[in-house]
Amino acid sequence: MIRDLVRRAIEKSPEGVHVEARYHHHRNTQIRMDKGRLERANVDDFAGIGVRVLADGAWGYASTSKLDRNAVDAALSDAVTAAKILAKTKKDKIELAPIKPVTGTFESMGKDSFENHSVEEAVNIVKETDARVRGFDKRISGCLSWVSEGRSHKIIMNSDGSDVEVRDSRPMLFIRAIAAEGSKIVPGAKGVGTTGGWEIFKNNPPLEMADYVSNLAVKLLAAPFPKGGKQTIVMEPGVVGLIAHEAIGHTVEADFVMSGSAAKGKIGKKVASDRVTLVDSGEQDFGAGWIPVDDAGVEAKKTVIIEKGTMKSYLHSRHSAHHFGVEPTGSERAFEYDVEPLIRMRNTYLEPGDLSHEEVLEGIDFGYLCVEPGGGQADSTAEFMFQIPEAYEIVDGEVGQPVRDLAVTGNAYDVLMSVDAVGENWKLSMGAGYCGKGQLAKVDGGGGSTRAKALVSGGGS
Amino acid sequence: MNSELLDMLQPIIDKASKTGADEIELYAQSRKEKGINIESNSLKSATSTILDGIGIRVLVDKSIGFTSVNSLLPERVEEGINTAVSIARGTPSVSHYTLAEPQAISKVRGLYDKALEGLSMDELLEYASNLLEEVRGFDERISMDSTSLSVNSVESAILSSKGIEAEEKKAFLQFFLFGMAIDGEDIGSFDYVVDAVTSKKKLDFKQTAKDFGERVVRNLGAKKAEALTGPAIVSPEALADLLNALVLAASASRIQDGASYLADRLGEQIAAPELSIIDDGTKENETGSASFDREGIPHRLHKIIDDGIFKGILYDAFTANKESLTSTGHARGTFRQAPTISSTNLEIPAGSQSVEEMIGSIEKGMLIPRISAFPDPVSGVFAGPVKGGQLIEGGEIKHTLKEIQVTGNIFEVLKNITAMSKERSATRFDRQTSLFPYVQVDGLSFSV
Repeated sequence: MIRDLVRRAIEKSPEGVHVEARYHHHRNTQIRMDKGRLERANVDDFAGIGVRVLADGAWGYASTSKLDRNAVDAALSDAVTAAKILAKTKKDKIELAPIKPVTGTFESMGKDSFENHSVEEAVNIVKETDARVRGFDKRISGCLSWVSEGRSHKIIMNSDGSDVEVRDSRPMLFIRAIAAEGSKIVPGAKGVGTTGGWEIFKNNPPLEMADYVSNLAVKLLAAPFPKGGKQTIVMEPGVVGLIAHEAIGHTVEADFVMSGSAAKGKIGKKVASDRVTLVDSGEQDFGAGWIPVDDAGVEAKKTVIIEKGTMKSYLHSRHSAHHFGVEPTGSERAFEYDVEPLIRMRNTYLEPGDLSHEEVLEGIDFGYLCVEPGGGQADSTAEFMFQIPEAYEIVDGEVGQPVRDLAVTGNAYDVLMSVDAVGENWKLSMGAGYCGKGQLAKVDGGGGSTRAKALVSGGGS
Repeated sequence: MNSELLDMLQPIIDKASKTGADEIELYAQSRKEKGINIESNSLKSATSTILDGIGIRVLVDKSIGFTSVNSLLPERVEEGINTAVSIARGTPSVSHYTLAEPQAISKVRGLYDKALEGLSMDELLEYASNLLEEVRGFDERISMDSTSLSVNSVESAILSSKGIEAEEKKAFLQFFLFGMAIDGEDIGSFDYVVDAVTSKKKLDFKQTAKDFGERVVRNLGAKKAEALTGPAIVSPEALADLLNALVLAASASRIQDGASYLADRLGEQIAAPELSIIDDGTKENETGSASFDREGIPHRLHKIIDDGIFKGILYDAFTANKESLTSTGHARGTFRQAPTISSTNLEIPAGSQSVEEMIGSIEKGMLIPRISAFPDPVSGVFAGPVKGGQLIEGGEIKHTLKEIQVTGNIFEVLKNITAMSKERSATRFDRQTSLFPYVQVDGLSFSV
């Protein structure tokens, strides 16, 4: 029945109007406990149909939460009217690159779907991790833990004949322990996020994670601040993912390139060391950024952004692909039915090298191992600052003591240019949380352990 | 006379009381939105959205469950109630969890302008085109990356088993300008303007374009900074970002959990005696205002800091119950989330000096337009890059700095304010606003 409503928007479209229609039911469950107090036990159920049209060279978008024929007809009519009004004053008409239509059903709900588990079971996981952290050590003064699961069912069709149905589930688990002693207060935190099912808790046992972050927080109480200045760093997969996503990835989103980002004019140019091959792909169905087809009905291809140091491609919508004269990359996504698709990253990573972890560390007299990414930001210029809440000294090629409040700063392209070793230990490790660009998107990122030079600061140094 | 929305809620409450819920609260919203999006200096798309939904909060034996559904269809709402009740049966019970008791509500004026709600897509397009022309006319090196204008009307209604019953309609025009200036190879840091008006008469695109233009153009020609010590002038926008931590720290949930710098500091001098911070959700013509909060409790003028003294904790119903107090009307959120504590319209009264006089008094220092940092609400510590930092030397702005970091403590900043400007600037989101002066502070450290 819903398929018929989505199809109706395509079939009822006026002559010469391109239509993309998308049903999206997004059900998000969130359980959050702060220091033993259950702060949130929410289920948010959000469903509707979004209709995007291209009429006379301008986009119109309308959406409805009412799932009946009249509402779909009204949404189509509103979108066409909006586009035609805009087209009257729009000088540069939007055109779309051609695509091969995609059909089929795609699913990544995991081995043991969340549908088989109750909200109460998730509440118990959060309660147990909270109790475990708070009972770990007398210096533990706080704990925040949450479990969430976003479950989507989409039906995507367009005027070119794409007709797909996608079901997925994207769970996350996050635990933060706070340790305090005297005036020192330090956090130890870890988050995991995937596309898949309840097995996230088997692959990342919550009580082990609780012990890990508690131990880290307690150890960090006695940790020194890092030495400031230009240092050799080894980035573990989560940190590689963060740099690939935040500092490089956003600059190669074609809408941002068209506005003049740091990647403008860089295609074919050397932007990183030979060891760097940077990819954005919807392929890995376990990655939090998995998509088989984008929300415009375009196949989500593997896109090589940087190949052996040379920039090869941006991330494209059909519009930007037409503008640059290339093929679309299947990168357009909308968080929910009520917003229009934008160019977004998927799983963004550095291809693995062939070195063992020991070999990556070998020969480093002094440096820092950057394990877990924290907050940070990047600019249009590719300048970035990321906090690394879990970092260790590297002394004579061996991992040493932890350090507190380490931050890495610099220009992402300069950092990638300095990469001189990449490990074989590839994984996606950035699936907890969301990427924000006016609307949210689930993304992932990673790579193998990567050695580079960057500016390190911390503790006011 | 009740609205259709409120009329629709009564039978749901009656039905829900038979599902085993001891207490129930329904918060319904009906939202209409029309918008124009600009990308890469060009009109990109026009959008139209209608969204109805309902947030359902239930208590079963003092245990909480919450669901939301974006539909007013009886079967979807019923399913939502059943889910909320089943969640509540699986969550721990908390003795002070009971919904708010009704309080008298007075209507806040100036939140609904029929002319604004009735704006046509053609008129909105004209506004967007004007704004684009004004920005490009200000300086053609400006690249508007993603910018949007939208006109919204939102009807909210709340009904609870405790007798809370309230409804309100608001309309506002929200605009968000984001972009950077580009001059050949020189790409400036991005910057933005966020503002909203509740009346057509208040629109001034020339001024908005000028504010945005000045912010992004000054980021061109940035020079690498050298080590710097000295006072800083913090812009209203940077101050708004830093003061998010104060709002978190002043919220009762954090104070009761001991996760706040302000725990046990009520009545203490925590800031310079010249500083007062007020939260007032009853201001006319402000998007942060409403006649009642997310739990149906009226907003009020609430002094958080008065002459430097911490005076006001922000409470919702649950946290107020815990201390046998009444809510201060600070439950916030849409129908899609259970209420959380936050501010409405934050304001710092204007100071006595002009920004020019403040700059003139500084031998060496920096004006900070934007800081990318998130202070910790427990320790107050923050660290992050300064964006568009303006080097001050000999009482004058010299040039823009790049790659300079600042570290500090927001609670120390509040104590170390040495001057505040006459000029104030507002940032307005759809449910929260801030109106702050420039503040001059000592004690921030800069590093390169």
